[in-house]
Amino acid sequence: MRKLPALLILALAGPAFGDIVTQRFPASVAPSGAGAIARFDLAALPRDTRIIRARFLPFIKIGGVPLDEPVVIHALDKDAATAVGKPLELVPPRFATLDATEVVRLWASGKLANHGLGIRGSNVDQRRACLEITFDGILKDPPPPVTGLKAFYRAGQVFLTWGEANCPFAGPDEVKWKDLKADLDRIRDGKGPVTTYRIYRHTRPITRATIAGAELLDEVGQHSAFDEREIKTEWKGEQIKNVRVGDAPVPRTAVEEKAMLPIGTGVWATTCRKDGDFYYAVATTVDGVENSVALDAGNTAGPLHEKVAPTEPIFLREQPLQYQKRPQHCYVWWLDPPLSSLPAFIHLSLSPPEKEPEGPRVLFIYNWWWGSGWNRAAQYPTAESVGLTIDQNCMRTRGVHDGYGTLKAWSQGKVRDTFVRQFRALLPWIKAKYNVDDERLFALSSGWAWHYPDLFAAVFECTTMNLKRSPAGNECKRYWGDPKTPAPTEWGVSAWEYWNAPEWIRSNPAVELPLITYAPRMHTGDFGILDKPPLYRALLDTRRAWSTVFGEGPLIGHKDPDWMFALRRSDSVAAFGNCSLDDNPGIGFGGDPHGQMNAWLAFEPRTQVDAPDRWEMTLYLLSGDKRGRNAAPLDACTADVTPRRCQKFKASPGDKFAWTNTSVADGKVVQTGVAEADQWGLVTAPKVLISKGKNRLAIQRAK
Amino acid sequence: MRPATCALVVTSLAFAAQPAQVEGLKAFHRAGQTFLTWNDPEDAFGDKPVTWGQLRDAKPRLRYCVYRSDKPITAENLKRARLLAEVAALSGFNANSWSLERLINQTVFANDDHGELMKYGPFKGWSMDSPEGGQLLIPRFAIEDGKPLPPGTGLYVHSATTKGNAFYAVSVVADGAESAPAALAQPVAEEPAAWEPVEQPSGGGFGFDFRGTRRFYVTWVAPPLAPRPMYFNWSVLVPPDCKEPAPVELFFHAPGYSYARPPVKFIERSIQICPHDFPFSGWYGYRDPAQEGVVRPYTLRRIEAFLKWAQGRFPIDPQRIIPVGGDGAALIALHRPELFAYVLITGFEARQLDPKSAKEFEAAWGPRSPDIKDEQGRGSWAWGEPDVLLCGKPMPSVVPKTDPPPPPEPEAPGNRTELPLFVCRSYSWGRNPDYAKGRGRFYYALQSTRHALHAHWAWGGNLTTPEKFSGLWQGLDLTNTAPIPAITYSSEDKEGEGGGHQNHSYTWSDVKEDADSFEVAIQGQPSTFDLTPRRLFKLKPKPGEKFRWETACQEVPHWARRKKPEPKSGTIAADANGLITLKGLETATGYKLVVRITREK
Repeated sequence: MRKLPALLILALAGPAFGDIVTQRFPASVAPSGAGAIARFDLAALPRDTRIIRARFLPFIKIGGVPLDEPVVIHALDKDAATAVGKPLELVPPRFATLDATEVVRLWASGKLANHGLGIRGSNVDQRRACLEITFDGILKDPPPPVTGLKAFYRAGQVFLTWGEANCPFAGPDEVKWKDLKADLDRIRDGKGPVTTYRIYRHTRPITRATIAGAELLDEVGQHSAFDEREIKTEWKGEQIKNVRVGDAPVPRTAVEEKAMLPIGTGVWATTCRKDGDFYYAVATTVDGVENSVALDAGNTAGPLHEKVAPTEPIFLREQPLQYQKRPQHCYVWWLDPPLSSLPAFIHLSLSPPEKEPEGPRVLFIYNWWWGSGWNRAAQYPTAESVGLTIDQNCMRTRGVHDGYGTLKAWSQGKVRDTFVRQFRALLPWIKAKYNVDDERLFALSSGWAWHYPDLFAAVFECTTMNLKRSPAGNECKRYWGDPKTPAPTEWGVSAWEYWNAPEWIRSNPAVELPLITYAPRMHTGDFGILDKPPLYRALLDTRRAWSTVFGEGPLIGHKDPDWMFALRRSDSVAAFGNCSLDDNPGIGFGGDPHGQMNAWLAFEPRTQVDAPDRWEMTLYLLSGDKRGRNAAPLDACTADVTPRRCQKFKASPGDKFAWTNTSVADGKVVQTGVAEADQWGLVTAPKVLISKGKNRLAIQRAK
Repeated sequence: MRPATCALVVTSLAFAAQPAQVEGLKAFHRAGQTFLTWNDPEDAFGDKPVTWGQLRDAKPRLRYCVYRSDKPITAENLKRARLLAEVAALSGFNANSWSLERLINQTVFANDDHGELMKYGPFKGWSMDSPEGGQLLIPRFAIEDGKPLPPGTGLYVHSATTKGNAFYAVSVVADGAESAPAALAQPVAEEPAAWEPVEQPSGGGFGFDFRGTRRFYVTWVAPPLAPRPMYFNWSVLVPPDCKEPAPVELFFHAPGYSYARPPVKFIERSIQICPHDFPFSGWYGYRDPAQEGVVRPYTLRRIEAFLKWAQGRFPIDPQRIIPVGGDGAALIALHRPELFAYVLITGFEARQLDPKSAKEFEAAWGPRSPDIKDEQGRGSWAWGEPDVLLCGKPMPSVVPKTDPPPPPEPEAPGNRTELPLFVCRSYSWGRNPDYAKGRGRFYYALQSTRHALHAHWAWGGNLTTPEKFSGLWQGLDLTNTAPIPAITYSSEDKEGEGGGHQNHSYTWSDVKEDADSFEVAIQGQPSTFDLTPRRLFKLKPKPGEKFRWETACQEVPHWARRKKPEPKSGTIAADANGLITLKGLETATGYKLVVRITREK
């Protein structure tokens, strides 16, 4: 690759022609070797004009999967064989176009002959690929401007709304999905004029004279206020699943409390990155031609007094939960990086408890399936919890490559767990608004929450714990790459292995985890069965606190988890193993289809002793409710018991301990023994008798 | 038992320009069998784990000829010695121990996959012949309990048929040339005895197994337990602290699976015994090479022999042996019904009705022909068809709901045979392949011969299993000497995919039998049914003998008790097969129906 002469890369300031013009110059694309050459006739570009901005629009289809290899686009020298200068860079925040400003400036100045752009890595759309150049010139036939721009600052974010130009739906109270879809399809296919909106920010008022110096923040398509998540769907069977109903109205999103945006409104929001006063403008474009001249009170705003601050969801409405007697507060939350790889809004909901506890409340996050964050079918297992649901996609809660939905290649980004970032970012706000005890966070999860011992006291896992062995995991190839060639991740290892719970747990015996229950819940055919036996083996072998039920149906892998909600993240836990009531989980086939492991066992976290030389816990077998439901099949069992997650009770390998097991019912010592800390410093009392009448296990450092 | 090893001296015999002579020939005799070992240079794997793929794809040059004589074997008299066998190289490996369960276990508990298992039916197509099948590690035999043969050892086992001293020699054959034999200078003292399984190394074990200790065994067998010298693998799981006589779950694996690690075990304190039908015998037997046109039940005999050995080795309760599995469990219960307390069918396979499986059956039994018979003279593979075994003829797979199944042949064995209760999941053996049609041939056969069946096939079916910790089935302690009520022609029986079952809602209790009477209490959904006492060991009705019968309803706790059925009574004569069948009995919700049958004086 030949370097450009230093002089040529200087930005050239040409004479002013009056208007800021944006115009598209179609590409003539021809195959060349392993790639293609896009040539442009720039004769219509005024000589020596000032090039303000230029972008190459490749119209490469963004299929929801990062590209296998980067799109590499260079200016070419005269023999069209050698790349000149740096490759064009993808333009944030959408990463769907490439910045060609420097190259076009050189071409326009004559410092570099225009031999076109060499393209490698992906096929551009030969019909639509073009250069979109913004320059000083004479603007002809500008599209109509937006009207009624409103801009405001709220909790670390700026929100803009405007009346869309050329809106085909102006007038009616509702837009049917089939009508919206038809126009979205038309726009996607480039049939007919395509209207977009450019968002500018400036430290000065934005006018015809200053817009050239304004920062182009983003470009938003038509229909940005519609909320496609909330369109009514119909179940069409296992193969087709849910399909949006054509005649269903399409709701709109919100930027203010309890106020759905009207039809015909454009919307954009961003998170403030620095404190200051800023002005905004929204300019209409049609097929790239931008109205940069009609800038007035209808499409400019400011100044906004902005401060960097934690962002907050916007309350939209309250609705009842479907199966529980409590309200659901529905919120819209506007996000951009690093909480989302692209600018977006999501849904989340919070449900205050049915039964008000004394003191701060438990928070229970319910994210294990697919569905809206306003899913009314959420069922929180404890009445005293605040329930939280964030937009659900159980295949995306474990991280998504930040090239997803862009023209980035796998190698140009990383898999990042934006979902958990969102949760962490929300926590202070939830804690303040809903009086949550952040020591008592619980999650109904499908394989993501167990990895966050700093967040959760206990997690209730379901579906699959190793997507590498789940037919459903094929979806994650879109987010993580193929398991054989995994994408880079924020964790430094393949996402397939980071979320391979059996192997991770086995390989990290010293890392403490939340108390884990696991239930396959449903569709074991889809989610696989091969993840489960190794998971149980790893949990057993590394002496974790856990339980499981094997059969499809229950959401929680314990026969009665009520006692778990007294657990705090800083509590030690009793890890049970080799319980004599355990059923057989099989080896990838076979086993007791409706069995369990440790699921009849419980302990009392609030009466524990966690001291440097002594650990005590009251253990018991479930005795069932008044009707005898959820009672263990026998009155007593034996299990190995290992203190885990201890704050003060610490042992070094080889340390000696004595243990006693006392019947709570009559105060008699029923067992004694000695134990030695293992290679991980874990002390295990073997075959401890545990009864429905409760037993107090005490482990004391030997003198 | 530790076998006594003979102090043997190998005599070298000079043969020129021939393969190198066998070295390290040793022999010992144990439980009626002589175990011969020698150095096998083809086994050059050393201490490294050896996969089935390495053995399968090996192309050994060497074979070994094993000779036996009542006189010392020399080069001169070699031709007069009996050539027992030509043994392939690598005979020290227990190749038949290949097991899909072991392979699955090896795969599932490793982490060597990169998305290959991210699919439906991840093990579909895995077999001994598939690339994946080659990855399984294969152990060497143990000929002393639990001690694997040293690397580089060849093996042959001879089962003695007479008492006396025998001399052995082994030669090497390579590229068509035979080496000088290596002969034992000292004879082996042999004596026929019951052959004993030898415990094999457990290998890496399984990621999860049922509670207890699973041991693996190999039995080396010959006629009458096999058509020729063969070996078979077994596993036996003994629960912890098993001192009292324990029930046995005799597990019959599904096609493609093995003895190594059954998918189910229902009773916590049961001993589980798992035979291996490999080479395939249809869980019955093979053609007798010594008698044209005869198929003998070698497999059934082999399993019986193992059970007999196991009863001496483990605390087995012989009255509570339960076959579990598919066709194999059903067949052994039909051929040896007196051995078993009841049968748990996890799903019939009926592969002998599938033309795709015909070759496998033909290899074991010969073509389906009336000229190829079993020892009872049954031809055309009838020994493997449960309905034919009972009714003397095939039953239809579908019978209209309003009709009874066709009657059995007048002299059908099923009329007089006393069978254990069959508890079955899914459709019957010989079901109609069309969607949700009929029950299948065997269920109709059981009904028409009035045997006890408890079956459920709705949505794939549920198996009514014994309670894990008590071991009781529906609260009953069923043994092979306990009378059972055979309920037939119930109005509660359902057809179809969504509801199919036969007798699934009935339970019984309070069974009493003496020389003159039988009593049982039946509970079930409101329905009418016929009742035939079966497996009567004290009350033995003779054909035509008269009995008085009566019924009475007793209340049981229930929240929705219905109208109490009227008591009934009458007299009845035992039929030509000595069976007493009470017809049209009635149960109602909230009552148990007490039925009493008394011999008329």
